[in-house]
Amino acid sequence: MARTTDATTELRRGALELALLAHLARGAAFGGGLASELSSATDGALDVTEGALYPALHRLEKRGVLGSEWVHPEGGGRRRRYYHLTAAGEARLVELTTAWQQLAAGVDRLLEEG
Amino acid sequence: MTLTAQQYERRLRRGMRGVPGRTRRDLVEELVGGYEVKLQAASTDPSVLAAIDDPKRVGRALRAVHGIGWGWRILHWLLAGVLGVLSTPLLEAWLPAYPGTFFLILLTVLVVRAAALGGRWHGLVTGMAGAVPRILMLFAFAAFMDWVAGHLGPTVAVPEESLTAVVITSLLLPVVGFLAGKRLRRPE
Repeated sequence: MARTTDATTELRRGALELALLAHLARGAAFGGGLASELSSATDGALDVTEGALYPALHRLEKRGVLGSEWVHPEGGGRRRRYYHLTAAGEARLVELTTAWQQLAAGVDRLLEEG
Repeated sequence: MTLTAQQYERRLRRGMRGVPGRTRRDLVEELVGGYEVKLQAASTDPSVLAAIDDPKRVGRALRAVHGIGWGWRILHWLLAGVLGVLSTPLLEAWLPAYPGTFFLILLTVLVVRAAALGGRWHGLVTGMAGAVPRILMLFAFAAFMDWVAGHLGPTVAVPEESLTAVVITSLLLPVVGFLAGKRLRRPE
């Protein structure tokens, strides 16, 4: 059971990383809006909670895959942190996309045969 | 129940206890700012609040990414050192009611807690910070007993098994810290 949970967590984490990189490749985004943007971009297939999203963003930033900058809103109020892809992030996106497509194609083939 | 921004911030800070000051301030500003935006959006679309986790849990997950500050680390090491000395069971030879085992349990709890907060390497170092003074105290006490026996006549004998037991339990502390950190502080 624990092993299944670990595998599911790993799979979700990998999918979240790929989804974040793919989304941020379109342009910088504010962490507070990312969860709903990801959800609507994937038609609700990727419902990410804050507890998964923020640690993932910070882990990716620590690894140099993402960068961030603080922006002051025009109307005043709290600063907002916007995340963007770095050069290392672009390379990682290509790597993950290839791996994902190979995996998906393989599993699809298996399902069709079944 | 929907939290106010202030309640959210309080719980978030509680979860991030130990995270270095500057990092914690930035994280609070980022997350509370995001929460305020969601609260505003919830007035027209309540579903946006579905992605909100318990802020304390989010804070803990972020602490697992950023780790704890040096102040907390040093505090853990100092406390471990003091508890290491106090947990030397040989003190019980002089004071039969001395709670050496109690201090050893406290020390073990501290090592596990430090590992959960700061990770396996911090757990290992905290375990060592408890083990080294414990072993040093043991040998100092044994040497003192020898000196007393040599100069003042027979005194409390230190059995060989006690020495071995103290050394083994001491050496286990860093191992416990390392393994606890590996097990307890995994990214969510």
